[in-house]
Amino acid sequence: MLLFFVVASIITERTTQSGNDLRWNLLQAKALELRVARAFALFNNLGIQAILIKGWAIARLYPADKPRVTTDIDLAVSAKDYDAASHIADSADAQRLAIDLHRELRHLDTVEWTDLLDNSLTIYLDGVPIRVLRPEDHLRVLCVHWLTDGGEFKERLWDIVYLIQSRPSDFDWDRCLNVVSPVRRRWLLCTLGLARRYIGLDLDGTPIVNETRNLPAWLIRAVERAWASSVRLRPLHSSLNDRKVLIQQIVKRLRPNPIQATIDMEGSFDAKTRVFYQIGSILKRFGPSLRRISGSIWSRSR
Amino acid sequence: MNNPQMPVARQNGLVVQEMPDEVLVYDVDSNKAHCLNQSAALVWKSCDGKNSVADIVREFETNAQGKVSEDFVWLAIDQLSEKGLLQAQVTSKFAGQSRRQVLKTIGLASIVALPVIASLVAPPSALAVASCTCAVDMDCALIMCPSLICSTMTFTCV
Repeated sequence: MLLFFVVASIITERTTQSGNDLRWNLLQAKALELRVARAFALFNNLGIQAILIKGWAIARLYPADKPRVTTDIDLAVSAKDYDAASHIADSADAQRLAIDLHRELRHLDTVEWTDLLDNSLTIYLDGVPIRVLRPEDHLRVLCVHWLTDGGEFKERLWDIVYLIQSRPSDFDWDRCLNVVSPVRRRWLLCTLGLARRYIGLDLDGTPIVNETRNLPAWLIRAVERAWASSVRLRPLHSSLNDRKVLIQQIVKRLRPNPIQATIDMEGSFDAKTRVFYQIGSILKRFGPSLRRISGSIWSRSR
Repeated sequence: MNNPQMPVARQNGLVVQEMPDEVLVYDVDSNKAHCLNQSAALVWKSCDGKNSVADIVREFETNAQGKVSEDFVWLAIDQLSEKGLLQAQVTSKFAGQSRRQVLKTIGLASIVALPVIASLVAPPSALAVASCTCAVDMDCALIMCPSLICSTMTFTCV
């Protein structure tokens, strides 16, 4: 008996790697929940209607044994509330919450903010009402966000898989796909198609299954190249303090990610060459990039 | 003033997740996570600043349905103190003895699992987190990034 307890105690003390990871992730999820509730309490108290996008809004749909690693809290607010919301996000109360504030959804969606808000859902977390997008709207945002990152984060396709898997029986594909332009509709279908092709998203029985089968060759090449690369795209101004990283990032930009460039230019996911979108994207990004870089250099020199 | 004979479980700065057979605790201040087995968790919950060690023994025996000694509870308290899970540190009752010696002594008299607090470490997947955004070092600990230094150039934990 004694031997059992002594050995068991020593073994237990060195928890297995998988058990360790699961426990760590559960704690992280709990910590995130508390932060989300705290963030919403701050906004709710001032009457600002925020919508949580990505992050916990999708992490809650992941199975317990495969938790989603989430760090910041993406909150979208109306353009008119943005300044007041920024004030809250920058306040001492919110300093530890890692809030990433969005002025409505900008490029992520073209549906009117009021429409999104009217259709949003309220979930209670720790007694605090949390507003999230309805699944149809959230799916659009997740897809476009994934594309905006150039499709670099393969693991984030699971966001789409778990959202589709947990969709309600009355999920409205029309609301999801047909409230945006045909160009954007095609973006969504292609993202779903990639999730189907690479992660095994089951779309059988949905009205879109056939449309998601037709993926342009350049898109497949682009994601496979991005996933094979060890260099992830990051803002140039954040790479200034590391010459090696800076060079890597400049080289990466010499041939812009075709997915990102197409999204940037609101282009179509057809079979044509991406070159014109890539040139357009470089020109479009040049000015803002230069401003951010000079801003960073200026703040460093002060 | 805290009486070391009546320890108080720390509550501030901790994220606690109750599991069926254990309690997980994340210390926001030190960015450390711990896993308390049932025995350690029972003792921790009894540390309310009013219970003496003898009271904790009684509570433990009621909840765990097994006889334990005061040394058993002290073993838990020692670990709780060492991990910073009590409001005030207590002096180890087993100073000068190795953990193995203590376990041997207490294990002989115990028929329930010894209290154990295991440390958790950030998994490799957490190291690959794309955006540990931060404003100050404390944020990195708070958002459980594996790195604790906030780069004010990149506003990420590095």
